[in-house]
Amino acid sequence: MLVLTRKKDESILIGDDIEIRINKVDGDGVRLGITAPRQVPVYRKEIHDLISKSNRDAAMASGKVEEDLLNAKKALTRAPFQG
Amino acid sequence: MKLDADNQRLKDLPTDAHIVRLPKGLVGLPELKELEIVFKEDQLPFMWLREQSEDGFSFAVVEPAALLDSYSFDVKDEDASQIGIETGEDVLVLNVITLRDDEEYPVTVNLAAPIVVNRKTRIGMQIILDDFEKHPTHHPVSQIEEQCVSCAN
Repeated sequence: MLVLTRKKDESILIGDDIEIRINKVDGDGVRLGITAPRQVPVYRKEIHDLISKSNRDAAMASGKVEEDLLNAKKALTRAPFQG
Repeated sequence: MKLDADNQRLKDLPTDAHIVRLPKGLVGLPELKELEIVFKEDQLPFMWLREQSEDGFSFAVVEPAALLDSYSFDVKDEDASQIGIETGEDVLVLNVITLRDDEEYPVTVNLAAPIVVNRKTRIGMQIILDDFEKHPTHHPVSQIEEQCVSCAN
């Protein structure tokens, strides 16, 4: 990991197309302004990790035999989830 | 990284598969750029979204309308333009299902990150929605809607 120190209003360029600017520094928090090409997704890391993990968990489970999917379908017709 | 130690191919699924292209793959799995949708009648509304290769990944997916009364979300303009969609009618939505060894909640659906696909071009992307309270990653699926809108297709 490259570690840089920036002050408020300073920026970092990643490649030629991605800019991250320190807009505001407020205690423990930093407000960043991000400029990137439209096709480059920008995620909060913890959210990306959550979805990423969810996808991976789903991939493993889905590798089981189709019997699991039929059981899943049966599970659908059980009593509704409360709450 | 070996994620599919137990993966078994579903060899006898029908060949009326549809190819979906995800230019950015799935979140965390960007290499999954080309997948096919296959299904068996008796498994509907569940379908499979899977790699075409022998050892590839597969995901159980579902069109959310088959399971939920109301599931709506906004697609950001930049995402919509990337896959060329303009209205809700252009879109096929698929949500990833997680099957778990859990007696109580064996089936959960990821409402937080739907895969939106342009029906005509079959180009899609997985988008991450903003509101996790409303759209959890593991929403238990317990009751199927009477009218299965995906069954007809």
